[in-house]
Amino acid sequence: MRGARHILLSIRALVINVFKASPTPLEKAGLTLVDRVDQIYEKVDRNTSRMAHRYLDSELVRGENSAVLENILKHNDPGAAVLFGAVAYEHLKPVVSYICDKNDYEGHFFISEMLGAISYGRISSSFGQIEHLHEIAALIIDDLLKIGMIRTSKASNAAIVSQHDARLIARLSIFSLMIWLIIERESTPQGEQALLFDCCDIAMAQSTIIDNAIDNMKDLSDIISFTSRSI
Amino acid sequence: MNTDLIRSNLKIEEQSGQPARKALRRLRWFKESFYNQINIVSVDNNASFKTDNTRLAECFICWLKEFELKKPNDPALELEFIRHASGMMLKQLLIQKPVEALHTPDRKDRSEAFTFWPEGYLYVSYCLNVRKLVMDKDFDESINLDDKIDQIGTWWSFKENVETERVDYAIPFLDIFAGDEPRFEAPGEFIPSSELVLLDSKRQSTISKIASPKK
Repeated sequence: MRGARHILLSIRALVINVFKASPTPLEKAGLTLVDRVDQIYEKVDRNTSRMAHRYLDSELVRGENSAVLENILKHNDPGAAVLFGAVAYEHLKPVVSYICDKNDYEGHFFISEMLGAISYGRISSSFGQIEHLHEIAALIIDDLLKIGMIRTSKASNAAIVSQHDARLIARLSIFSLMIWLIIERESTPQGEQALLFDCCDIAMAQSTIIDNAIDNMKDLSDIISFTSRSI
Repeated sequence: MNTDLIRSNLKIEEQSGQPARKALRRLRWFKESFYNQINIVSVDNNASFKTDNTRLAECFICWLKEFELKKPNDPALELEFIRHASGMMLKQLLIQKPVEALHTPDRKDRSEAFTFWPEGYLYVSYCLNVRKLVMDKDFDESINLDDKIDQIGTWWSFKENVETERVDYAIPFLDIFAGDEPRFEAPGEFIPSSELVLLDSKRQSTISKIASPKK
């Protein structure tokens, strides 16, 4: 499994470099390649305990402190993009499941690690000009939603579908993830996973404001700043 | 005795490394302190509660936003505002209802506050303890519970008023429980006592003019 994973990560790095230069939206052939790579990975389901177990065992997270945006930013491309995609994928699974449970949502979502990596790769060149972490987080949220890292069972970008519940869950999930990636995590009475779910709870508590702020970078950045210092 | 209401195990400063009044403005420490209080109330009363963390987060966020909106710039008003802010927290807990009592002792004596309203008792207990902690640690002030806290009639009035009249009354009722002077006019607004005196004297002056108009 480790060998296969290494090969997949290498393929991802190659694809990311190719697509960084591509205009958006992604070419059809590229999407096919993306989909083919991602199908090897486990699809999101609602079994929270199983996903929590997998989350805790993730070799990407254990002992590496890589699930922190500040640390990811220190890597160069395409390593940073590959790392971000993997971290986002691993942590979005329990996040999406938690938010679905809290909203009694019965539908299924798919999470594309590859699209997460491509998204990061195509916007990371602008990070150096940005002063604040919450502003970088806003940029990442915006692009992850545009690229459709979270998809419905019909492979549509969940962040823009007409079904309100699915759309809101996708937006809140991406928001929760990014909050978790930028907050201080050293002083945690409950532990990392509980803190991840705290990010989900605080996002759900502000769902209307977040939903309204999604299309305005200044508003989105402000609410990220407020939320991240409040956890 | 309802003086058990202020039994707590809140060690927020030691755990967070910050003054309590700052730590409590972060969800992680607010939750930690709230769960501590649930444990104590549960043990003391042989009861159990179920907590909805999402509602708890909503309670916290609503309180924090109101806190930041109303916080006075004048440091001399901080202590007064702490009292008001603890009442604001009680108000949000009563609005969001994040806790449900699952099991309570089968006591027929409804003259005990906990038996009468276990969730309300828990919320009041938490808010009094936070108020006490912050006043003690950050302002070297103490809290002196009023005898009314042991009178079931006070609790009946409290529940009826916040549930049927206006939930803002949680603020003056917490003042009653804490042994402070309550204000039932515009209870949701933070009006420093110095301004209240000024308002009162202006009102008296207006009343005098109306009563004795110049000929």
